[in-house]
Amino acid sequence: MKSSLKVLGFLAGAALFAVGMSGCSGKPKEGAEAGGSSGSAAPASTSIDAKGSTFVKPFLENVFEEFKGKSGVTINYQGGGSGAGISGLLDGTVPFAASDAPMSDEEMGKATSGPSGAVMNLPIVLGAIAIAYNLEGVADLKLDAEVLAHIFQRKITNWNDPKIAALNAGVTLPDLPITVVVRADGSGSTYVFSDFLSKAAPAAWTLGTDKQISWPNDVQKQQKSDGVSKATKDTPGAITYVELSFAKQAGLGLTSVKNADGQFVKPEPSGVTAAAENASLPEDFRGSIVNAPGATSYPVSSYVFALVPSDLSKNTAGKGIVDALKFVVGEGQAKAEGLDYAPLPESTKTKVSEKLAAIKVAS
Amino acid sequence: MGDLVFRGITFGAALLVLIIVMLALQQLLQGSGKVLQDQGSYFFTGRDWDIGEARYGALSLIWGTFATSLIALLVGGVTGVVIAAFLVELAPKWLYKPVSFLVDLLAAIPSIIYGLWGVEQLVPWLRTQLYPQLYDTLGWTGLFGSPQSTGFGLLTAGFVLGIMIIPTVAAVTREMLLVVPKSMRDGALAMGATRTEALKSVQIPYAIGGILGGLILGLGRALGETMAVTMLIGNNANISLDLFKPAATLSSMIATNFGEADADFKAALIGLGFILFLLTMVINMVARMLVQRVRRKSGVS
Repeated sequence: MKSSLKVLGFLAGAALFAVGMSGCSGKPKEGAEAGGSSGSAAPASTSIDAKGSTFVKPFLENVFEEFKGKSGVTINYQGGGSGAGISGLLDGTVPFAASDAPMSDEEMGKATSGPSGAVMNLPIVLGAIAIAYNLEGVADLKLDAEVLAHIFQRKITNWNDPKIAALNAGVTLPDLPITVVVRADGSGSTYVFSDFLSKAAPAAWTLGTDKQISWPNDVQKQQKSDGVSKATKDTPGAITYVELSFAKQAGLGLTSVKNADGQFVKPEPSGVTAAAENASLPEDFRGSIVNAPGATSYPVSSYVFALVPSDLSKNTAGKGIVDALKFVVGEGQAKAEGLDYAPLPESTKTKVSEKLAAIKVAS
Repeated sequence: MGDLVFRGITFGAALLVLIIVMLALQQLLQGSGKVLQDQGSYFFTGRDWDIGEARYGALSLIWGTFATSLIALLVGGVTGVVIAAFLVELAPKWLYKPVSFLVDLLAAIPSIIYGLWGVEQLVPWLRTQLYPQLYDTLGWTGLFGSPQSTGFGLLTAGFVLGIMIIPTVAAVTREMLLVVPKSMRDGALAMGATRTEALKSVQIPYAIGGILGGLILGLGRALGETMAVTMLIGNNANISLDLFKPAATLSSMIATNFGEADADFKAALIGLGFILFLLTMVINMVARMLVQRVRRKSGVS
């Protein structure tokens, strides 16, 4: 009797923990999906989760906050990175996302056959990638794509290199090694910068276009935009590519970059909008505006895209999402410049509004 | 009956440890299956960690993990033992309490704070003061290979890790020295040994097993440390004896890239977790054997 009780006790204890554990060993995916759909199925006080580009986060947070005041719809834009946004959209954990780079053909295909259905890439705002540097006494630095390609591939390693001097007549360049700082994590900024070099200096730039590229082994890699801008600020002789707002906040020097028309342009919102006006994009917007023609175009510019399913009729919060994005490309644009983004050109605004109006929502 | 329930619960709790380890291992293996299949043994022995080309060789990351931990052990291990010896044997009473307290407090500081301090204070100092001197005096060794360092790199990460493990090592060593029977120390002193001699020839040999245990705890912390390392190491996977160069560790690579990783790359990162898991397990086992052997040798069980 006693021993059977003992066994019972053991079993009871073991069972207790088995029950506790079974909760953990279930497929994590189920939980995540349930969380996603419950977020969108709460019509009482609508709250919508979205993920994606951290670059656009300050802008979207600001605009969505104002939208909340007007419509009562809360959008939690969580950031997390463009890649995280795309994978969240693909596995159905978020109803829409934002990205610095358009989705690839492969991703578009996956979306069509996944829980989101076909997805549209819609421009919502513009941004500039600044080539930011830390050089005491050099207020104006001019560089072109070829020299940038050499610098970031470590072919040019000192600031007094004749190729840099040739672009900067009258500027005293110090005898100081160049420290190249790049992003350690996959990043839309890396995509845009490498896209620019691939298009503007195809002979000199051999590392391709991607969010994550095979850098030489003596560059400094730092995490996120604040990581690279901080390291650049702390290291005399450093140079990096980073979103304009971060470069400005850190007080870094901003390089004037030679554009397709041969003009040197500083990163400013007006130059970015000009680039967007002068670049031609395909009908589905999935293209880039780097190295755009036009005398005032800033060549390292990019659209930020909202990634939205073209059919939201199954989502009870569908109308809220469409209204929010309409607000972003409408009234929201006025906030862009103050936050170091650039507003969309009028022609793009019209086109995006048409596409938004065509999204199917439940009536 | 109450006793039985208690036994059952404690047994279940013990079982839980086993289950968690098994689940973790199973998840790691499952998640990294793709990369193990694609890369084969190259994943463990390859030097190229190239995301663009989808070549995932983790050797440079294993090197980064070992090298930073070793530097940490040199910096923090030695300092920790010396601090403990001072506290137990030489410190005046009024100093013992506050310093002991501060040592314990250091151990409780979250690692991100060490990272911030490293970036804000230590890196600029290292770059402008210590590193140029190291290069001038010891540059010929090849370990400090460039006159201009950014301050971010293997050595900086190892240095901060070393500081992080000081309290762990110091606290354990202190406890171990304190439990050395008073009679043994007094005996040594009575035979004319100085305090230093007593420490060196009686107390430390007696406590050596425990001290090694403390060092291993410190090493364990250094191996898995993520935040502070990520902020300081430069995150560029390299195998180089030049300690000024940027490097990356298993955990820093996972931390910087996991959020953005998709399919294959994610499998590679989970694979790194698997390697880290194996590595800590092997090191712990070797360490245990070492401790046992030393204990047997020193005649203390």
